[in-house]
Amino acid sequence: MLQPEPQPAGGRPRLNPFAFPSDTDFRFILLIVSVLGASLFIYSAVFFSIPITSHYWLSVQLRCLEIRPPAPTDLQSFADPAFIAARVAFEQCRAPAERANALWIVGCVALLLIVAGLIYWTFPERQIRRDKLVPLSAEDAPEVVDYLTKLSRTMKLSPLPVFLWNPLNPASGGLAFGRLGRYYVSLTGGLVTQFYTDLPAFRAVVLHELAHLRNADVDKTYFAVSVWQAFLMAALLPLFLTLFGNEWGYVFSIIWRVLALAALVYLMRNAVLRTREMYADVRASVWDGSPDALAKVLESLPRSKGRNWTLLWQVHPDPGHRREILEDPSRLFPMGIWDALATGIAAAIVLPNLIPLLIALFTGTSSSGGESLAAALMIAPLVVGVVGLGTWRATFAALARGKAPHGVGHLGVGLGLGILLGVTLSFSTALTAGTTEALSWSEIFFNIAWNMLLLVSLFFFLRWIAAGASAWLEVAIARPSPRIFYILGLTIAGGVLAIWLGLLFYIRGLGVTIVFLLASPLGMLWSIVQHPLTLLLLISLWAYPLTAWFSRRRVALDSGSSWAFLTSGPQEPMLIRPAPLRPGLAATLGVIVGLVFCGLLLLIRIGLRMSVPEAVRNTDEFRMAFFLAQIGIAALLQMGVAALVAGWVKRLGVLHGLFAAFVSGSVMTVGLLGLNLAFGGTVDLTFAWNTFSQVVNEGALLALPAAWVVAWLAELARSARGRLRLLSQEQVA
Amino acid sequence: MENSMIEQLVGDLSRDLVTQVAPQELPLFRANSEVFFRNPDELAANRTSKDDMLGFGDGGIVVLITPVVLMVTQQVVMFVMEQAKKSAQEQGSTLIDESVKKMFKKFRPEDGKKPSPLTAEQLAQVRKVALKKAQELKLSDERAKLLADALVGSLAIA
Repeated sequence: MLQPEPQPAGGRPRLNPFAFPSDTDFRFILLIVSVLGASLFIYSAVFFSIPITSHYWLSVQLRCLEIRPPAPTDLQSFADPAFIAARVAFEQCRAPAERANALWIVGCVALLLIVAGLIYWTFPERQIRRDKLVPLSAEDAPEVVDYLTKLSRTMKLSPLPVFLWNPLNPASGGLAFGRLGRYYVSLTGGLVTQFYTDLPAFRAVVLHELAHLRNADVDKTYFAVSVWQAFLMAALLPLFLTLFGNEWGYVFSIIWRVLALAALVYLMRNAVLRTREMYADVRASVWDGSPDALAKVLESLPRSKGRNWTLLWQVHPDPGHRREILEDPSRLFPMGIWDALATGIAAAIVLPNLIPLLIALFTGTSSSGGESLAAALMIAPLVVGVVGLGTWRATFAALARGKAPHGVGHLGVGLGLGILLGVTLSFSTALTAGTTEALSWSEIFFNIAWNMLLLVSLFFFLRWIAAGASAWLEVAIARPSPRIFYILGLTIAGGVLAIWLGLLFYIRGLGVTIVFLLASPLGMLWSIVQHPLTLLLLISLWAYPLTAWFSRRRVALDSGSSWAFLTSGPQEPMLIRPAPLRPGLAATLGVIVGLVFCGLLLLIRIGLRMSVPEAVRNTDEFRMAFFLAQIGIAALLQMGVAALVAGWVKRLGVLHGLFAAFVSGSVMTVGLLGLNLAFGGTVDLTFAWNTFSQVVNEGALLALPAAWVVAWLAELARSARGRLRLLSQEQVA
Repeated sequence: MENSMIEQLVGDLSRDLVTQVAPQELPLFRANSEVFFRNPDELAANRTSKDDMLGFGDGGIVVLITPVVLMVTQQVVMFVMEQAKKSAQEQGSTLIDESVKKMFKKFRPEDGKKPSPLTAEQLAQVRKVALKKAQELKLSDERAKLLADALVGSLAIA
């Protein structure tokens, strides 16, 4: 538990970076997952290079090809029961071969993890041998041993670390290492002499190493390194053996991807380690009661001589930068666009390899078809764990310093670009890239559209996370911990991203075919619009941030925070007082517009009854046209109310607009169904669901861009008005 | 004089010197002297600070005096031995080992037979030898002088 430090006189209190878990934890996991993801492809390649296994797979496929149904010539044939039955029989026929491939891959990955586990377990012994470390005994330095034991106990470390040293090493430094349940801190001879000459410096360095143990850096770091070393031994070596006899083009495409992956893993690992050093510095300074001693030690360290880019190869940040963070930990909160880019690359290296594995695993079963969603469900939470958490932290730091969260959307673009780059770097792309002929125009357009959709959606996704964070942080600040709020927020965001990425990668898998499927009457557009997941996704957009409004009374009562700052005593209040949320206004306007629609619809129905003959009104064509017209008017009115509310409400205008559209859509559905009954029609559950999902979802899909444009214009107008007011005040003064 | 005896003498004298000039290095002394007598090159090997994962960073190098003390003391003991040999040849004595030891205050008996102490010229030579060796080992002038003076001070004077 952190002991609050006394508030500095005059200076601003330091923000508490331990209030949120570090996104580096998820980055370590993502690093491991991306390496494992790359190995999926490699083990599949090994499977097909072994004569027995590849022969078995091929013979099963050839046998099953005999019962494969011919490809349908028109879209309606896809729904033909005979075609579906033949397709199922074909899939079940080849399922054993696919499953054998999948199980081989899973088994090899398990083997890789065992090798990684062995490397991790034996790491400490090798480190001790390499650095010629021996136990620091009371015989040599009784005072030092006594001091270190007391220090570890005071910091409540469990288990207590074993202190080792190399008395021949004149460097001044320490090192934390070990394995689960057995941790070591090694000291150099040079550092031990400082115990007698400069105790505060000695204490600061030791506390830094103990902070690594408390921050649980040791296991994550050494396991991530172990996985990489195991990958080199147990995956890359077999891969290179399979490359013999292959075409040079394929070999080249594999080799440059291996090099790119190695560079990514190395640079990302170093970036994570540099961040962990700064967290260890901050914790050590809190334990020490003041950052002064550590700052003094850091000041004495030699500054990095190289240019900025050479720092990428180092695992410690420049001492000057470490001092800046120590003095103002709020700099630890914002996330850089490069971090988002690396996260996207790591995630996308896995996805295209994971989807074929799941397809192979579920071939011929009733679960097949949802592989993209399943793969996205595994990866999206990690992505949100990194970028989403980074957004929460950045939002918190901005609000606490009286600024509006800024640049969050850029993180989304960085993430999207990373995903695009990662897909290219993925080993599975080496297969298609090597065999695909020149792309047709339709494929080029499809790729551009897919890429744009990904970038734009992630831009708004990250802004949405920031909007939710800002709404809930206002509530969380008055509670003992923000934990429940960010866990809930990130879980919802993870679900939303999983659905969206699953859909995007499913569409990517279909390729240009999707355009025809979307355009066809039996196509997917209707099923996507009416899908319960779409409704859930659209409702989540406004429901999660706006429900914070219900806790507004509690917020008004409390002013301070027990977790936001590292300082004790009177807290600096949240400087920014954002404009209030106004879901009440949105709901009222939504109801009004919904009722207007009902009145309008009543008038139209009466008018139609009086002017259109009954025979015409009873035709299917008329009924369909009338139904679609009602949906169209409802969607347009929802768009209107969303735009109105988005312009009116200052804070989270777009989300208020979506909420207003949902309320008005719900009222419209009730009115539409009620009037249908009143005018002699019937209503069953399916019809009610179809009507509701179409009215609400189509309304929301139209409302979203309209509300965004209006909110943006309104914001521009407000800031222009603000500038004018400021100018006139200056002139008066 | 046997090697073990020289080591014992150099070790004891060096420990005293470290206690005087760099007491903070006493915890390091045992390990350093063991390695010095086993393989002096290992001790002299240039160790640099590393950018290790979960380390503290490049903390720079602390100039340790212990290895220098051991080397300089060994050099001085050898020099004194030579002087003692010359003196023994002149006096026809064969007990060089004991006489070398007793030239240092630490081992000089309060009473009984004492070997002749070094002359002022010899002491000046000892200082010169110590200073030269310390400077060769890159010790700062100030610390080199301190060490040389401490070494001369450890010898019995006439």
